[in-house]
Amino acid sequence: MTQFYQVFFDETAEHLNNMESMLLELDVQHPDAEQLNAIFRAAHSIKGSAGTFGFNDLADVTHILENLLDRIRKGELTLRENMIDAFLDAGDILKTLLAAHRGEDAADPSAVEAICTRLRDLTTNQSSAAATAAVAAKVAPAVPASTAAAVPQNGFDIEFVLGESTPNGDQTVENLVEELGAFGRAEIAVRPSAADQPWRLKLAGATGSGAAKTPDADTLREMLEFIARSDSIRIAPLGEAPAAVAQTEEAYGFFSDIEPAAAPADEGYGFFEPLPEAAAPATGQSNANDGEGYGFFTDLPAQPAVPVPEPVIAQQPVAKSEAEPHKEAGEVVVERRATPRAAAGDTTIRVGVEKVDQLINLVGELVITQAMLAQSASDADPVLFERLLTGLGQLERNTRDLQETVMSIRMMPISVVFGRFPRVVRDTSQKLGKQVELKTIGEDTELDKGLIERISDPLTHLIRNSLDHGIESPEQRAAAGKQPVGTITLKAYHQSGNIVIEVGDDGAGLNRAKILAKAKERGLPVSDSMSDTEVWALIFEAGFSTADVITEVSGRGVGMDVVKRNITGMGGRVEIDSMLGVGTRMTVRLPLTLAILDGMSVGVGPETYIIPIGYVIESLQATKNMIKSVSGVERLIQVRGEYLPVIALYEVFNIPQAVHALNQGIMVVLEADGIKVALFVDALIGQHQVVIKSLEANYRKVPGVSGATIMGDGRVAMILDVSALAGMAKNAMPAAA
Amino acid sequence: MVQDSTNKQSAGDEGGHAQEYLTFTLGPEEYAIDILKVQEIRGYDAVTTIANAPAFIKGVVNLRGTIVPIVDLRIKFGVGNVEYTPFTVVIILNISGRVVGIVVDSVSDVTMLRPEQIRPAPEFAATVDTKFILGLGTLDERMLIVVDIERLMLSSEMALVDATNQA
Repeated sequence: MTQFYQVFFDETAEHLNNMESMLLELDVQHPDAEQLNAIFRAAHSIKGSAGTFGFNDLADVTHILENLLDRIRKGELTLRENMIDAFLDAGDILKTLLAAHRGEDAADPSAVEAICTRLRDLTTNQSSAAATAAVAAKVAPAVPASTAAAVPQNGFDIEFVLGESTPNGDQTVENLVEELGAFGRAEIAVRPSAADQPWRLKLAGATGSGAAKTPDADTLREMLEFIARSDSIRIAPLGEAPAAVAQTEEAYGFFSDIEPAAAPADEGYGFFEPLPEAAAPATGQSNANDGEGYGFFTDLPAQPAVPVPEPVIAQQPVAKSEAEPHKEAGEVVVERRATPRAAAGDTTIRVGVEKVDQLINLVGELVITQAMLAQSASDADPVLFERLLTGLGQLERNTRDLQETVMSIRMMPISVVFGRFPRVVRDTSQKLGKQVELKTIGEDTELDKGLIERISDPLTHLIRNSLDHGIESPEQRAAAGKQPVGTITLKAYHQSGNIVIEVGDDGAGLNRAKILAKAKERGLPVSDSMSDTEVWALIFEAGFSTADVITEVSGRGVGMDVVKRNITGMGGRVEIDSMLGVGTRMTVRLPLTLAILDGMSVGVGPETYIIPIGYVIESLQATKNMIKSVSGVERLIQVRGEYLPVIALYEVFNIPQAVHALNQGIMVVLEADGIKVALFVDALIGQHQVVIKSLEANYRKVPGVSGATIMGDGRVAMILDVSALAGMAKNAMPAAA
Repeated sequence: MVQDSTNKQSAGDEGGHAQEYLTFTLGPEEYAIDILKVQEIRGYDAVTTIANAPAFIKGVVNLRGTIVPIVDLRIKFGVGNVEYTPFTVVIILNISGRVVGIVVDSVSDVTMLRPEQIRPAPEFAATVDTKFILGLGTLDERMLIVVDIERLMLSSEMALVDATNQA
């Protein structure tokens, strides 16, 4: 069982995140029924699998949450802002519980208890009327108790095509018919002659004594989706049932009203033996939280207390949908969400990252092998070997497609990160008493999964910083003639091989004078003539804060330096633009991925080196008069009016066979960390996308080299560490050749 | 692959604690290393030199997608003819998760050595520090220099690992 825990953790975390983002999107005044259903389903899935795996604390909290959600989605309770707050907090508690099960910090039981009470209060506050109605229904079954909108029907005509994954179809359908028998009289109307022909079933309404209430179309659909292709399912009502009867049934959940006066309990045993408590459907709310020990059927006993328009049995297949893949699939779990929308196309496979990396490696090898084959075949006579050459051409195209596809596996949309910020903004702005609107642009921009994981914390910090220091209070904003509601804009886009993420606010902007004063106070070497860029860069100094008051959110001066360090660690950089009174914009530039790099290959003697193309500004052949000497050594070249220091790669790497005359090789002008240098190499070879390999995994760090890659011919080439090389120009100029 | 080859000496071992060693030659000398550290044996092909590395580090090669440094033990130990022919052999070692290749003159065989067959090495001056020599194994008339290859490869002398992650 333990081997499935990780899957459960991942899945539950995902459900919680989905739930949170849906809650934040929800319009309190006019909640969208589909959204409410989706939130409910998320809660339900969590509860189902938590029960299965025996995480009862998770199941307990979700159970209460689910009850409340259930009543809201049925329109029995009206959604209020404080409910959303409670739901969000409940989500947080669930996350801590989940973390506790993962072996991280233990959850605070009092907090769990508090949120349960809060949710229960919300449930019961408005529910007394409905509960009374339910009791009334027991006494006088003819009184319609439920206000729910389910359309009563006495039967369905069902048509579907079995899914490819459903083995021995006939047996499966017969089982289904048997299951449907619980709702009434089910029979197979048309048996298909071939596997891809549709089946037709007839389900007549609840007629026999002890039969459960006829389910609604959605429930049937959910059941069918396990065996049938979801796009092929058609469910049509057979006809109209007498309204009074059908509605009465609803009050009971799943008991027939044929013998209302008789104890309904007896009939209940007929179908739902493991659920004795179901026999007392109207014992009231107090029952709702009792029988938790039933695995993932925990909800069943509690349900009858609340009028349910759907029969409870409908939830059984949902729970199964979560539990079954766990049992079968081992490490790779094909996720089938209960959401009908998701079930249609949005299926995902969970795979370990190391498997993907292995795949990327193997494809890399394949590309090299293909290149080698192409190389050896290039001399072949195109007439004699026409078929071979055609085949090789096809292999090349296929390999390239394969490589692109495999590379894209690691890419994820940045919405994964952006998705958490509405919550951050909401919570923080509430805490600070500010009104802030968050706009996100370019959520579909893709970047490497490794970067996604690492960018999230720095971005959170930047946003909190904007909220706290950037956006002013509504009063200040009004005084400055701005809208009381501030705006924070999150924007992501691709730019020349980089991903750019901007965090902008229309707040107060950075105060140059204040920053300079603070810097002087701290004894930093500053002067009033510094450029804005240099001044803004000061806020990245450790311990630097201009906040007058230290708040809970920020102002301790810890963080911006960490942000900068993290981003630099990912090979990116941060820039600040700011105007006093207008706003601030932080721009984070990151390489697209940690694994692939656009590189320019250059030759020095017999060696090939890769320069990350992002650093390259231009390359040119220096003429004699461009080369300037300082103290007798040719160390500078003049390019478009600028004097650039020359770094000769053959000197740095000690390659005697290389071209030595500066006017014979190629100058590659590079810019790194604001320093421009000219790198002297023998020749330009080409431009490639290369897979970055670690040199340190089996060797150690080499000065001037940031990594290695494998070229088309299978040889290893070093990737230059441009920042370090540029630094060499400044610090340790090698002795003259 | 040599480690798959049958063991000629296995008949004589009743000591129970006999270990398998891969033996190889460097010039006239025979060396033995723990076979469990050996990943594979392959030919020597084009290496990419590493700038400013010691002479015995020939460079790195691509071993099915992994970048593997190649050390020429003949240069390091100062024995044998340092020339690279199609018959030059590289033993790929896997040492605490790090993959390293060593160039040797030739690989001899896989040998069983019981602990009592290995005598402690006397203190003597050699290009290799005697602390990396586990002992001298005797096999008929042959003397095998049993090397603690793991310790040798991870040592600062080999300059294969950063000073910070040295064992």
